[in-house]
Amino acid sequence: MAEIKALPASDLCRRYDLCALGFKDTSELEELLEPLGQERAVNAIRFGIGVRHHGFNLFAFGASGSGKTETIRRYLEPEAASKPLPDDWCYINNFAVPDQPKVLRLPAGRANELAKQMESLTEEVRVVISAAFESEDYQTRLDVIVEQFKIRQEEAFETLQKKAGEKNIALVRTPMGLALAPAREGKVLDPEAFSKLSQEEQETIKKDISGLEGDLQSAVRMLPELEREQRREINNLNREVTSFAVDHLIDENREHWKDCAAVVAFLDSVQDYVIGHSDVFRLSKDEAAQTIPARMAADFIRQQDSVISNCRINVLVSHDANGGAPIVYEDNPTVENLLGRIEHRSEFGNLVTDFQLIKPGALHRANGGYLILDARRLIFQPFAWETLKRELRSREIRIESLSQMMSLGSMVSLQPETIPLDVKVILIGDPMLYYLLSQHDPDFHNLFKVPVDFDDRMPVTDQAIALYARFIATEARKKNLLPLDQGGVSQVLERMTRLTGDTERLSSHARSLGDLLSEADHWASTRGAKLIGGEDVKQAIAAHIHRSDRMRERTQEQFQRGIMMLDTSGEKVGQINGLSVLQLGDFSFGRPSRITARVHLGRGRVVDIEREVELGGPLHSKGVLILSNFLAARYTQNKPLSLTASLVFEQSYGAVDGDSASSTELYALLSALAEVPIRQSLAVTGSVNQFGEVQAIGGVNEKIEGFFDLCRFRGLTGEQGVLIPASNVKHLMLKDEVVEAAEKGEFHIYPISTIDEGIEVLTGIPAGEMSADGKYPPDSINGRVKARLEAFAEMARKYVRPVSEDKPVGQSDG
Amino acid sequence: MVDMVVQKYHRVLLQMDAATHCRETMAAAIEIAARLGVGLQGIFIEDSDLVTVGELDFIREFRLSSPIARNLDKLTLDAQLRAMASSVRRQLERAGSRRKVTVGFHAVSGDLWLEQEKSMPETDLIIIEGTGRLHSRLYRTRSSKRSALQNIMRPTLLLKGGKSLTKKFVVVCDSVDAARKGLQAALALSGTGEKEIMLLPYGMAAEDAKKLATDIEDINPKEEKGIKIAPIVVQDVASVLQSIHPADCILVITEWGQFFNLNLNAERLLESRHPLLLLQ
Repeated sequence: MAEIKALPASDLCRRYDLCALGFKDTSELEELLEPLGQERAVNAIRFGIGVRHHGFNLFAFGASGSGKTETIRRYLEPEAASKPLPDDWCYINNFAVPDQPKVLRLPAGRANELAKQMESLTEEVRVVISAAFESEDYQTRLDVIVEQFKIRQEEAFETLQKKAGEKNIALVRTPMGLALAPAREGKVLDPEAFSKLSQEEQETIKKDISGLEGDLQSAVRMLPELEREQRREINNLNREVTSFAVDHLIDENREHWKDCAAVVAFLDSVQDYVIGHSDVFRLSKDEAAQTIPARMAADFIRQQDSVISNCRINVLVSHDANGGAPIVYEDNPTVENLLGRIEHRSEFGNLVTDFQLIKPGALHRANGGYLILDARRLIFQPFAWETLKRELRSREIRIESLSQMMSLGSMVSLQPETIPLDVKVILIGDPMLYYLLSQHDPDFHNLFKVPVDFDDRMPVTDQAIALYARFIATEARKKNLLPLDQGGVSQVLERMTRLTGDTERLSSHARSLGDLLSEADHWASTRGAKLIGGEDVKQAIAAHIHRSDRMRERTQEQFQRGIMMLDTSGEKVGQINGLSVLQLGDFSFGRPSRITARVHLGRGRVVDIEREVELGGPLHSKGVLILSNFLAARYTQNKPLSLTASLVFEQSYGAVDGDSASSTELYALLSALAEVPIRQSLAVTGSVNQFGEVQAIGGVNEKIEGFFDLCRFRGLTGEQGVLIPASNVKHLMLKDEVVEAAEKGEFHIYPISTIDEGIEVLTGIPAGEMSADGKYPPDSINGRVKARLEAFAEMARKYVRPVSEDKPVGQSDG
Repeated sequence: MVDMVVQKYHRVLLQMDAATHCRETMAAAIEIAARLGVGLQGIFIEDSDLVTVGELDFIREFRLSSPIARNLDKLTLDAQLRAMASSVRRQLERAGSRRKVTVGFHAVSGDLWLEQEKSMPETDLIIIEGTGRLHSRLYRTRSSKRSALQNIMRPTLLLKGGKSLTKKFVVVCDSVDAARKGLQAALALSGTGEKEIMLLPYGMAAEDAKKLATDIEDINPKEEKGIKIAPIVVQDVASVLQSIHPADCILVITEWGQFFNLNLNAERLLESRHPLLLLQ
C-alpha cells in the first residue's frame, strides 16, 4: 500500500511575490491602455468596426461585468472620430401626397440652418402676402375684375330687359331666381287685369314671354360660367400678386442653396404651394379675429398655420460639424425607440398628424455610424429584434408603428419615405444568448457575422502579473481611488485568482476588480491611510463575504447544534462525509453532507434514493450508474451482480445534482460491501469514471473550507482533512485559516487519483491489487468486496430453480 | 362762430326685399348701427310685383342655381318669401349679437312699408341696398327704387353691393348750411377714430364758395382732423364723379332736391359704385 501524503501548505494557495516588479505603490505604474486578456475580442472589434461590408455587424458576448461596453467604446470612439460626418436628414411635406412625407438629405450640419431659414421665410411670406393683398394696387385690380364681370352680367340682363320692355314684359326678381311677367307702366299686371285683356292679347303676351324665356335661360345659364371665369381671373390675380411678393424672398434662399439640388427643388415646391394657397394669407391673424365670426376666424387661422407649417422642415437628424460618425447607445430598444415614431396631436377630439410629428429613432441618429444595443433588452422588447433585422436586411429605415406592422389599427397615418440605412450595429449580450440565436435564428449569421468573445480569465505568467498590476493601477486611477501598495496588489491578485478557482488563471472580470478596489479604498480611507494595503483588501473581501454569508452561517449552526448529523471523528461502516456547494446569488459556500450506503441480496441494482424521489438531477444519476457499472465490471465479471444497494444523502431535503459525490458514494458502497469502517474525520469530493479513476470537480475550495469550518468549530484534531481529486490541486486557493492549519498539521488535503488510493486513506486498509489469476488479497478491501459480491451471487443462484425442474412450456397440469 | 353739433342718431332702419337682400348688406348695416351706437330695425318687403307674379298661372321661374325652369305658383312664392324672411331674420340676429347691436325685425307686403316708415318717428336713418346678389344695378325695379328714394323724407343711405363702409366721405353741398348738415352726418356716421371728409361745393356761386372756405374753420370742430374743402366748385354730376376720390368713399348729398330732380344726375349717381347718403 503506497502511502498518500497530504499536500504541503504551499500547494494550498498561490502567493504572489511582486518584488521583482520594483514598485512601491500603483501610482508609479504606467496606465494600461489595452484591455487585459482580451486579445481575441480586441482583434474582433478592430476587424468588425473596420470592415464596411453588409452584414458584418458585431455581437459582443461575455460574462456580465466583464467590461464589454467600455472596451468596445474605447476602440470605437477613435475610429468613429476619424470617419466623415454623415449627412443630415429631414422630412418635408409632400405637396402632392401629404400623407407620404418626403425625405430631404442635406450635407452634415446644414439641416438646422435650412430649418431656421424656412421658419423665417414663412413668417416673411405671411407678412408680405398679407401686405400685398391690402395694397391699393391689388384692391383696384380686384375691383376692375369684379366690375368687368358685373358689367357683363348687367349687359346680358339689360339687353333682355330692354327687349322685354318693348313687349310690355317685366323681368322680375324672385327669391330663388328670375321670371318674366306681363307689365303695364312698370307694374306687373295682376290676374284680373290680365283676364280683361282680349284672348288674342293674352296669347301674344304668353307667346312673347315664351320667346323671351329662351333668352332668360341663356342669361341665367351664363351666370355660373361668368362667376367661374371671374373666380379664375381673381385666382390669376392672386397668384400674380403673391408671386410678385414671394418670388424675391424664395429666390434669395434658392441662391443660397444653389449647391443643393434637393433644397432648390423643395423651394420650387414651396413657391408653387404658397402661391396656390395665397387666399389664406389675405387677412392677418388679428384682422381675421376682428372681422369674421370666431369659428370661421379660428378655422381661417388654422388653415394659415397649416400652410405655414407645411412649408417648414422637420429636422430628423442634424450633426455637429465638429464630430465624426455618431456612436449611439440605445438603452431601451423598443420598436419605436429604434425606428422612430409618428406622433399625433388632438384637434377638437380627433387625432391628427403631419410630417412635423415624425420623430427620429436610434437608427436615424446612428445612421452613418454605430449603434450599440443590449441584446437581452432588444430580444425582450416585442418585435424589436425582428424589426432591427428587417431594417438591416433592407438597408433602409421605414417608420412604422407596431399597430401598422401588425395591421391592427385602421387610423389614418403617415407613410414617410424610407431613409437609406448605413449603420454598424453592435449587440452586447451574454454567451448563452449568442449561442441560442446562432442555433435558432437563421438570419443571425447573415447579419451578425463578427462574434466578439470576451474572456473573463487569463493565464498567470510573469508578464501577465506585471500587466495585471498596471491594470489595477489603471482601474484605481479611473475610479479616483487611493493607490495600492505591493501588499494590496498581491492580495488583489490572490482574490482574482480565487475567483477563477484556478491557481493558474487570473480573473479579468472588470466589475469584480472594480468593486474590490472600491471597497478596499473605503476601508483604507476609513482608517485614514494614503495607500490601500493588503489588510484593506482582506478586510474588503471579508466584509463582502460577511454581507453575503448569512445562509452559510445558518447551515454551519445546524451542524454545530447537532440538528444536522455529521461525524468528524470515529469510524463507521457504510457512512462517509460528502461535500457539496451551494450557490446563493454571487456567493457560494461548501456544505458537508452525510452519505450512507446499505447493501443486501438483490438483482444487481444500485438504488439512488435521491433519484427515486426525483430529487437527484441527471448528472447525479449518471454518477450513480457509473459506480454501479464499476462494481459489476471490477468484481463480478463472470457472475451476475446480485445485490441491491441503496445510497442516500442524509438530511438532504432539496435537489442534488452533479457527479462530484460519485467517488464518495462509491467509497460508502465499498465500505458497506467490505464491512470496513470509514474514518469520519475525513470528507471526500470527486467524481469517478468506470475504471475507478477520480476526476476533477468544481468548487473545491468552497467544499474544503465548508468542512474545515465545521472541524475547526469542533476542534481540529490533526486527523481531519479532505480527499480531493489530484487534478484539482492546481485549483486550490484556500483561505488563510486552512493554509495555517495545514502548516501546523491540524488539517490535511489528500490528492487522490484512484478509488483504490482513496479507500486506503479512508479505511487504513490496503485496497488490494488483482493477481495474475484475477484474485485480490482476501484481507484487502477489494478482496472483501469481491468475496461479498460472490457470496451474494451464490445466494442468488440458490434462489433460482434449475430449468429442468420447470414444466415445459405449453404442457398442462392435467 | 357757429357751434358744431354732431348729429345724433337713435334708430336705423334696414329695408330689404327678395331682390336686394344679401349677407354683406346686413353686415354693413349692423356695422353702421354699431358705429352709431343705436339699434337696427330690419324690414323685409314682400314686393307687390312678386305677389302678382305668383297669381299668374303661366309664369315660369328660372332659378339661379338650376338650369331648369319651373312653374311659379302663389303657394311656392309665398313659401319662398317666408323662408327668405326667416333667413334674413336669423342672419340679422346673429350679426347683431356678434356686434352687440339690438335688432328688431318684421316682414311687410307691397308698398305698406312706406306707411310704416312714416309711423316710426324715432327712425333717423334708412338703409337701402342698391344692388342684389346678381350685382346688377339696372335691371331690377329701377324706377321703383328711385321713386322710393324720392318719397322718403328721412336721411337715407343707399348701399352698393354690400361693401363695408370706409371712413372716407365726400359731402356734395350747394350752401354753407348744406355743408354743415353734411358734415354733421358724416361725422356721426364715421364714428370715432381717423376719418377723411371732403366738402365738394356743387353749383355754388363764387361768393358762397368763398364764404364756405372762410367758414370751414368755424364748422370744423377742433378735435377733428382730416376735413378739407375741394379747391373747385363743380357744376355738373360728371364733374362730381370725377372729383370723387378715393373710389370707395361715401357720397353725402345734402341738397338733392336740385340734384335729383334731374333724372340724368340721379341715374348716374345710382349707377355709380359709391354708397350714397341722401339728406333732405
